[in-house]
Amino acid sequence: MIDIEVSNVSKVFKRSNERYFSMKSAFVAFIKRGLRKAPKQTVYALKDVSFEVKTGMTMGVVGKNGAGKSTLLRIISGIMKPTSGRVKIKGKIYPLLELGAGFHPELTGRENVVINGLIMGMSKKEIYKKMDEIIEFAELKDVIDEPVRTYSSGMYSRLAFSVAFSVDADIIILDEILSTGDMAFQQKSRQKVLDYKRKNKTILFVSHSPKSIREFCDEAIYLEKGTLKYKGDVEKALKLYESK
Amino acid sequence: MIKYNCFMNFLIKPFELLIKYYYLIYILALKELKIRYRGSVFGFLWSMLNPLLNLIIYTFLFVVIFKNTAKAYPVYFFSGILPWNWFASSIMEATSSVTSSAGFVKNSTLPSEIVVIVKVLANGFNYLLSLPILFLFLFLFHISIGLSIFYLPIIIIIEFFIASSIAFFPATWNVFFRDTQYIIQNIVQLAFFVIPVMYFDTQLPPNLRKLVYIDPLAYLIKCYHDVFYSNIAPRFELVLALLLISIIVYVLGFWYFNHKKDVFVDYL
Repeated sequence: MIDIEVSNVSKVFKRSNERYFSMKSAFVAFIKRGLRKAPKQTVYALKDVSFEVKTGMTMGVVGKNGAGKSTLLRIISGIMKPTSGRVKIKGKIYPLLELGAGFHPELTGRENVVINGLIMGMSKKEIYKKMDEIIEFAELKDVIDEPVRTYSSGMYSRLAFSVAFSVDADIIILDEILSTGDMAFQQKSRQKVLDYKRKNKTILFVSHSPKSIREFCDEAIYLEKGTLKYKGDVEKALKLYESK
Repeated sequence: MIKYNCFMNFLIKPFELLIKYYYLIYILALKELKIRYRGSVFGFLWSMLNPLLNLIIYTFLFVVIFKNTAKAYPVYFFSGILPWNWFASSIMEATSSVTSSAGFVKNSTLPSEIVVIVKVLANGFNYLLSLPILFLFLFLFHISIGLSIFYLPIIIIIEFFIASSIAFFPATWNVFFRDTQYIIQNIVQLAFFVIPVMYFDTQLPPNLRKLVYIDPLAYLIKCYHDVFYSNIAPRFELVLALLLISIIVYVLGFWYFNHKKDVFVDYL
């Protein structure tokens, strides 16, 4: 069974000097350039990427910053539309991209859990049922009703992480999230990922840490400047990544 | 048959969104209000205190200084300006809603229509919270309200849909062109003077007076006046027409936004 099928996906960003966000810059550019058309400069964030992930497999994604990893994840999770190509998904997908992006500092931890959980697609019932479990996992029992702005950055990400890991889906996308919290918490998080693996979930795993990739992934892909350079063995992908 | 299905889908989807995500929209709107007043001593009470203080200032200004002779003028003014404020702040806040919730749009698979509707609902809550003050003034000015009060829920629903539908457009434009929010601010301000909120429609030249019945927003405000000030029932067929219009424009606004939202992520 194939859970994720990415075929010939390309994403083009028109990052030219032609994108004005204000009348003033548009006007100034118009004066300078006159009526000639400005050259359109296109940047390929992804170029003809194809691969597939089978059910229950953990696929590692490695590549330098700006290689197109986040764009790829956004396209797979359906947040972004590809310029060309197709993505086929079987089952409920659940992206953990920027954790805690929806947190509001003035609200309490508990309120943020509810909002974040809803945004991540959990139902009202689910959240309230899992509330205690989430707080327990985040180790924030004493401060959960304080505003999040009073939290340390470690507490903040622990909370975000706990909400994220309480979601149940068939396909899980993990974007660089195992570097959260102290040693003990990292150990707990690893345990969660292993739990997912045991439950035969399909996982897309992005990380800059070769250690984590080795630990969790069955296969890996290596991205360079938007193109898929290698697909297959974890060690070989890591070698390509580390040699750059 | 397929054509029919497409059409039903076209009509149903904008409302399906409201039903499917009602709890999230409700919680987020509540969050907006909480954040607005978080840290202040009076909290939610400000939603009532603000209009109360305004009301006192305006009463003093219009009645004592300008000697406005119209009967219970402050009540007239306030029954109109409260819903107007709801409308105006909804539009202005919604305009920058997509750009300011980039985190939501970029990282969540939920429809981004939600962030626009949340702004309208949050300001709607604000309006509801200011109603007790209005009732207090009705009492002070010895104005009685009759059965026409039953029109109020319908009028509020109409306003919700009209505000949402209009909000969808500038919210979309603002993603591509950030000047939109400042342009909208000025347009909204101008619109305030075009609509009879401060003045009576009878003060308009007779040929302009009919415009009130053509402009849905003006008629909507007139409905509020009817209910709270004149104590007459708004004309039923016109309210029905207004409800129909509000639903149609809501569907149109929804699909305009929906059609453009695929590329939002590229611009945030």
